[in-house]
Amino acid sequence: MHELAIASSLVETLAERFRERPKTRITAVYLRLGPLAGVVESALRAAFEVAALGTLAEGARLEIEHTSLKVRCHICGHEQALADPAEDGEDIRLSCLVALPEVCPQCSAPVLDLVEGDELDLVAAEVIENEQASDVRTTTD
Amino acid sequence: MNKQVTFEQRLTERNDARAAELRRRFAAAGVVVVNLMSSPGAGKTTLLSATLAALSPEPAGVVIGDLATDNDAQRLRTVTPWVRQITTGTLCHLEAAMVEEAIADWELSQLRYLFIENVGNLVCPANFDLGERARVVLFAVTEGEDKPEKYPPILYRADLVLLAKSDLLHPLAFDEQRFVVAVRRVNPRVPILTLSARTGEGLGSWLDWLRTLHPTGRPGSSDRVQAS
Repeated sequence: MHELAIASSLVETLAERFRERPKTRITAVYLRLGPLAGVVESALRAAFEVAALGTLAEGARLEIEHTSLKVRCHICGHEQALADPAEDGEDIRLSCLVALPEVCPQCSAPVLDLVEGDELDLVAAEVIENEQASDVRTTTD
Repeated sequence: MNKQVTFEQRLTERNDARAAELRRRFAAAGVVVVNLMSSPGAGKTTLLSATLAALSPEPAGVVIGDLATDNDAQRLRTVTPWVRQITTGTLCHLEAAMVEEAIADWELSQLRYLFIENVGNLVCPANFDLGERARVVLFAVTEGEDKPEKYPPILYRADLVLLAKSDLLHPLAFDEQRFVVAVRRVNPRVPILTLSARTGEGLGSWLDWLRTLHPTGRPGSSDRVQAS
């Protein structure tokens, strides 16, 4: 349900960036999601479709890259990627979240930091800028 | 022609920026802010009521989020004059802007603690920074031992886990060790405190933990507190 709030925030961010170029249309939006982002992909897609209606991002394609869980030892720097048991295309990836290790497998120090896995990022957008209108200010909305 | 425009920022950037501003204000005013999250009915309001009474005369305020009614605010007005209810309508979490508005006319430097009782929900509040100093996730004994591992994101970001209603441990044959294992699967290092607002068991440790959040607080266990 909070996916709608996140999708609305995304659309506002996009609109803000292109405020000075009102003829811009967004054709694709690239996101990065980690298993600990707390966002369900299908819900986010549905929410984005609704939030984008009537905006420059209406109909834009959502391209979502999924990251995995990765931890790094605070002491020896050893990095370890944790297998993501979710199948590709599986939606609710948290349902089978692997347990975070309590100690470093290399030096047994109990200080592991998560270095990857909580991404909830807007990476980039693909846009079409209407050339003839790019330097003309309009007051459509 | 299609063109790629780089952003590289959090999707929640707008809320995060507001929260960062709030965090600066809270720090400047010397007030420690705690974001308290749990399922509905786990006992947030009861715990806060007992906590504020125990902290007294140290001044503490509460901002409460609920979909409807100001019942919780009315309960807490008996222990502190600093209470604000946010009714979110159907929104499932609090956002920084709501907190900012709720406390707009408060002189924050008069407070030593500010508790934000989030909307009862273990999913949605996880994504929204409110400018807090610490995130506390509360589970009740009545929710079962495995509840923590069902909600990894909120737990992963927790600075403290509370197991509440400990007076029901025995009647419910609750296996505390299984609960600890469930928490550790997601967050291997978060401190866990067991308490009962009804009997007062464990309240002292909770108050000690809160005091470590103050820069002027008692030293000792402050190394257990992770910055959020």
